Amino acid sequence: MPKMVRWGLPILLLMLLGGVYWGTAPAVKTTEAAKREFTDSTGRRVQIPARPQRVIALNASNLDLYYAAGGQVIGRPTTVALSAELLEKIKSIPQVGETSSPNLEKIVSLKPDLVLGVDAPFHHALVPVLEKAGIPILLQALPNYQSILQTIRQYGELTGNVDQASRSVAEIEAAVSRGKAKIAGKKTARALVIWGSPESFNMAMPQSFAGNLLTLLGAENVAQLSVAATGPMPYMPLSLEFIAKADPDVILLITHGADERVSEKFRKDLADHPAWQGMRAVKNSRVHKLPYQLFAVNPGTQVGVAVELLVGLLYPEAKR
Amino acid sequence: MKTLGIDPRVDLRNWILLGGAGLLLIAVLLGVSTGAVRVDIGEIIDTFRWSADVGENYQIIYNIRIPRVLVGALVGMNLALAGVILQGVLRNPLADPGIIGVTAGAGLAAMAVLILWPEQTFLVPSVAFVGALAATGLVFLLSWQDGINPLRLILAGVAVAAFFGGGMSALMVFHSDKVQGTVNWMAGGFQGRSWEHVRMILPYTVVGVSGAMFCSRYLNLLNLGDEAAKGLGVPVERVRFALIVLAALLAASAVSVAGLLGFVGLIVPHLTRLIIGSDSEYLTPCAAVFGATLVVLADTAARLIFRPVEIPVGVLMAFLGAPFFLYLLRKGVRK
Amino acid sequence: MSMSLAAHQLTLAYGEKVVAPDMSITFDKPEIVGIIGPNGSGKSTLLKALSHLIRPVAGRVLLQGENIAGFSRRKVAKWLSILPQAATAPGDYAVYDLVACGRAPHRGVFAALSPEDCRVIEEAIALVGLEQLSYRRMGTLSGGEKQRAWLAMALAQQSSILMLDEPTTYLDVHHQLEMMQLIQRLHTELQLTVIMVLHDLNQAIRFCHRIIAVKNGRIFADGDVETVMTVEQMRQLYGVEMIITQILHEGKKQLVCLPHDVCLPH
Repeated sequence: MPKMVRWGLPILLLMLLGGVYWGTAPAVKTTEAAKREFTDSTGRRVQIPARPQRVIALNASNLDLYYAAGGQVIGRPTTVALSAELLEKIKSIPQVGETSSPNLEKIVSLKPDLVLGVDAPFHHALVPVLEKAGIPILLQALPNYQSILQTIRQYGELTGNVDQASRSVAEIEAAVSRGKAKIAGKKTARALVIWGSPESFNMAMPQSFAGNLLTLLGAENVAQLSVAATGPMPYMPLSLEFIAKADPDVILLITHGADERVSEKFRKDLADHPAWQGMRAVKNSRVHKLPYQLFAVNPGTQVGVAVELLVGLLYPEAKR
Repeated sequence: MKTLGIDPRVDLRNWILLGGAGLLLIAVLLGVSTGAVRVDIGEIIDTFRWSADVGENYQIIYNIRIPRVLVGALVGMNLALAGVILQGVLRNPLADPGIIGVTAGAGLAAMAVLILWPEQTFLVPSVAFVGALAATGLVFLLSWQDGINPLRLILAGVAVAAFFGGGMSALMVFHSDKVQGTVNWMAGGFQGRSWEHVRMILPYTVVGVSGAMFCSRYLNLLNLGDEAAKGLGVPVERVRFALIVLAALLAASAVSVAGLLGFVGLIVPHLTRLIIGSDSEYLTPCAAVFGATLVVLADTAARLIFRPVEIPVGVLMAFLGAPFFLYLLRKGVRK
Repeated sequence: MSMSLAAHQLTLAYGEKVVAPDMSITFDKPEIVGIIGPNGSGKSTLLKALSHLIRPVAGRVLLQGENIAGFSRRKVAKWLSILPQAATAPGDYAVYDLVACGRAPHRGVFAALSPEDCRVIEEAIALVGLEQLSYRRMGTLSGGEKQRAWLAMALAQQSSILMLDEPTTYLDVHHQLEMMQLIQRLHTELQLTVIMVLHDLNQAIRFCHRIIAVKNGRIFADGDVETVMTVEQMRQLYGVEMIITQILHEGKKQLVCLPHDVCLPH
């Protein structure tokens, strides 16, 4: 009997090999709808319907921006990082899984004609299978403020609701202008944004989203002073001594994850930590936490709220 | 003419093998019929008829589920076989594919791509494969001394793994915001696996399985110790080298397609040994079949338990498999 | 089965360390040979060199007149069987499985056990008296039974020369005697040449036709029992004062050796 198995298993596998390599499957029928070419953030040129009717968004930002451009989705990610009113709107739309692990079967079964994802490996991995199924996918990176406006305008063309898109853009720009106006003429604030915990942290560089906002508001990001600022990484593990020397006016904290208690603990730990005691920001109680969904990931249309919050923290006297 | 009577174990072992094959078949069918979307047997059968008129779930069955289940089975087979070979050749019950550097090399290579060039994610399997073999080659180079000394190989493997592990940590520290993109691959899983992946791993499975089956006699002889094996005419150095290369190919192809799926290469050989004994002629095919079944069942469960959220397969296997294995150890099952 | 095995001016070394500078011996007829000598004198090394397990730094080993270095392992295995010291097998190998391993040099890599193979295996098991335990696992056997199983494996090789490295060291006196009597019987029935490294001098005296004494990597003495086992030679070989005398047992004279006292090193 072992002889049978010894020959049987390899032969079976060989047959499978033959079938897999030389078998063919019928081609997927493509629809006759009008198409356009869209270049996503990664530089991929994708053929998508000129007016997509069945859109699935795989992450909060894309969902938010698509609605801001006057669109709707038929499938959404399992996330709460959205504004309350948007959450209410999409309550009954089918979920396709968490952003970092979307369920392929669910996506395909909803028969979308466009999928919006992010420039991250877990969405890149979906591309081959979705292509086979004839479903186009766009991978968008939203690294900074400008990209928000740009993306809303692009989505406006897809939804056909260019007016709505323009309105959303205008709203956002207005909110940002208001924030800037409040602080016009004030002394430049010196700030540091940390991500992590008091024992193991990274600083937000200008390329990160939070860093980008700081630059937008004309604040000085202390992390910029380091030589490492010339590198491309958005977060860097800078030395504590460097920070102590730079001595920022205000320290802002982001923890990964949306749990409020964790952020609060982070803030307390930092303020109590002996190594940080000597800094001006700690002494003046100017250590604040930033909400994850507004600063760690791109908040989309809520960037106005983010800016306002930031203004209040950087220039407390500007509140009046 | 057997005057000593029929070997009482042969029948039982054959039944166990047959049973294992049957179990694998059931597992595969179960895997293909399970998922976020309901499909029935009729639709599954229709998929194989390649008629021009395809049902609405055709895409899901043909392009998502079947390749996923197949990749799972092949990965399980490859990893289990690699484990059997390495444990036999290195005479170390704790040997698994990671011990020769495969996991470290694949991990570093894949992580580099995922973090630094995420738009080339489709390259990850090939890059991981090359990385795995490069690491194994390094381990060989470091430990070569007129042939392969098992202890030196293991020590070199540990050193290389540590070195590459350091590389991975460095990547994680300096790109902490991108780490999440790598987590799924590092844990090991079959999300999004397609016919491409099947094509990548299948040739190695064919070669590996054939090689392992035909060399099971050598594994039996190597179990007797180097001197006894040499005394019996086994060209020990050459055989050891060839078998380790075979194990490296099996493991590298599996890891490149599934990610760093641990546990299978280490535990499945032991599990199989407890059930069917140390005779490699039976142990090898049985481990292959059991490995495939385990991975397919685990993947199916991983998709099912919290649907539509999928747990990484490696996590599930560790949680369920380790206690089960401990239980078997305590019972000391022997047939 | 006529055979000849000879070593010509062997120099044996482990890495840098030369263990045996110059050894020459010849075996050309079926006989039981005992190799004795102090620890570290090179006995096991000699055995390994003769069986092609290690390569000599200089000199040659000739098997049937040809240099053994030119033979493949398989070819050597058809002529020589070697039982290493403290050999271990996985606990769940059955006796039958272990003995079947002895057929390896005669089987193709892919071939299953032929009827001829099975016959040889069963014969070997019968020769050592383990028929009742054919399918018992090695892990459940006593020391003596295990050694007999290994012996059966060596017999299944159907070789002309049997090399045993300390075959009785780990056995109790009952099993030691059993083993030696078995070896003697096998030699007589199968006309095997048996070359064994022994520590027990009385076993060497009683069961061997020829004794080779090794000291510091050189052949100290080589001849029949009476010639080699003298008080003076033992004093020089081991640094031990021995009483060597003949005793009468059941009408037959038997040489025995009693280590008596340690003497000064020389």
